[in-house]
Amino acid sequence: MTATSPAEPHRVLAALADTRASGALHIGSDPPGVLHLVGGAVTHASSPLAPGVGELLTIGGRLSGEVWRLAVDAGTPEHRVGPLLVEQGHLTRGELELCVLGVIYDATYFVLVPRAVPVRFEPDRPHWLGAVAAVPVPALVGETARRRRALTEILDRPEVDSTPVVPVPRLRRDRIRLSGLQWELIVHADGQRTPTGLARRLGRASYACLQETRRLAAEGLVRMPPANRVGAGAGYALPAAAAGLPSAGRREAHTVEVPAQRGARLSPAPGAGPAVGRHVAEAAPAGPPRAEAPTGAGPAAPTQTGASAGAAGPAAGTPSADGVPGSPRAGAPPGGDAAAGPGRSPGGSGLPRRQPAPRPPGDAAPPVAPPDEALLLRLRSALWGMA
Amino acid sequence: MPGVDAYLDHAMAIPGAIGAGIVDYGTGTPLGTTGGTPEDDRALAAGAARVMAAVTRGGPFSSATPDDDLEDLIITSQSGYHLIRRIPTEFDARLVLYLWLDRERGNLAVARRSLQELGGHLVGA
Repeated sequence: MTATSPAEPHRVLAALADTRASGALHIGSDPPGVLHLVGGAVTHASSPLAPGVGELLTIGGRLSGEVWRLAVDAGTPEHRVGPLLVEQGHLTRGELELCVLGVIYDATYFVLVPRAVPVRFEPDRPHWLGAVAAVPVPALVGETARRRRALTEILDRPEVDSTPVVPVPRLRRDRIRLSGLQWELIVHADGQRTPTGLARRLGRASYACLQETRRLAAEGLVRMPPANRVGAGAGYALPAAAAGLPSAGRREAHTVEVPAQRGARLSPAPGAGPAVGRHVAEAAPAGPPRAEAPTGAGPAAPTQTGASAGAAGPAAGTPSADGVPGSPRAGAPPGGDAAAGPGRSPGGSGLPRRQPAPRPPGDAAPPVAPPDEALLLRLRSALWGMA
Repeated sequence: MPGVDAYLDHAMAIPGAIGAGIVDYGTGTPLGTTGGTPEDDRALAAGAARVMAAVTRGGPFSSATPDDDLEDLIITSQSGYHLIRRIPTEFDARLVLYLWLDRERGNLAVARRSLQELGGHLVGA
């Protein structure tokens, strides 16, 4: 095992290619990535920010989870999980090669960071999948740099890559056009997952998700994060915690975030009047520093803070969580207003007038403070631990 | 059940073939090329990605009816045909096969049929 002080990974990689080295190159620690080499060419790459071969094949529906697990169990000792799947007729050789090639380019994008990080080479350490495809180092390094430039050309906002995807609640357009992958990202955006987190959940190439998210942000369809967020320059290197979220933690995360979104989307619609609508629209770009801008839309606020603060705000959030469009409560006063003004009668016309009145004393929500990010993170880890 | 190299060799055996390649058109990455390319393999991949984007993102041609989807694109120049054919996969990948065909020696209909059969062998469809 050769330890190296911090270095730019692509230089170390080039040196290993020159000596036709074989082994595992461990790069960085936040998050850690690995490139496997055979005879100086890269035969596998892995990063927690990109789905692996198994995720692509099973989430995509090509292989059942059981077939994959059995192959991993049987093939790992001899480092030939991939060839085993081909020999047993589960995959064609072409499929396996193309899938692995895609993973190599995809994961390498996140592993070959353009700055000095701790790098360690472990010689003669084969990958359990087996060497089914190989990419020459110059091609891989060149392609990674090209991909980096291509993202900048779409939209020069690296922070989009490491921020949870939040679709904007309201559009000032009659019609939009989405690619299939953009649709999936929008549909599965839960306000928690970053583009790479969504990629792993969807079994989609992570870089492709970065591309599509930047396009969505450029078109104003997902919220643009503030430009000078901490570590904006690091971009993709940041979201280790968010990206690694196992799907088990998903439901809990949902209940924390979704009501706020739904509430925001709902409240302007059933007659709360243009005032609220405008409020939502303006809150989006200008809003509080973090992604939860729709919180500013009033009624949804108690939901968010109430849920985040654990049991502190008793039941404040629940009503609007039920107030989904088309739910049995359709006859009730519109959405979150029920929570915000319990004393008010809906009125004969079903059009309660929106008043900028002070909140009733029972409603403990502070006046739309920016969400406590540390608290949200702690809460998420706690929920994660329960799952 | 050929691998990528064998697949490209088969494509090159199509009468009139000048060059062939497999491109990830979602990202513009060349995954394998053989024979001649109009410039180099990176230019080929970038060009295929742009053409596919123009057709799938912009125009109404690729899915004129609800169940429709793009199968191939044919670009005809005075000296040759450039075939760009989608390779459907059951895992996440946006792949096309590129085939450059000499216009004198090649036969478009034969080439398309051969590619269709080959694609099935490659990904088991």
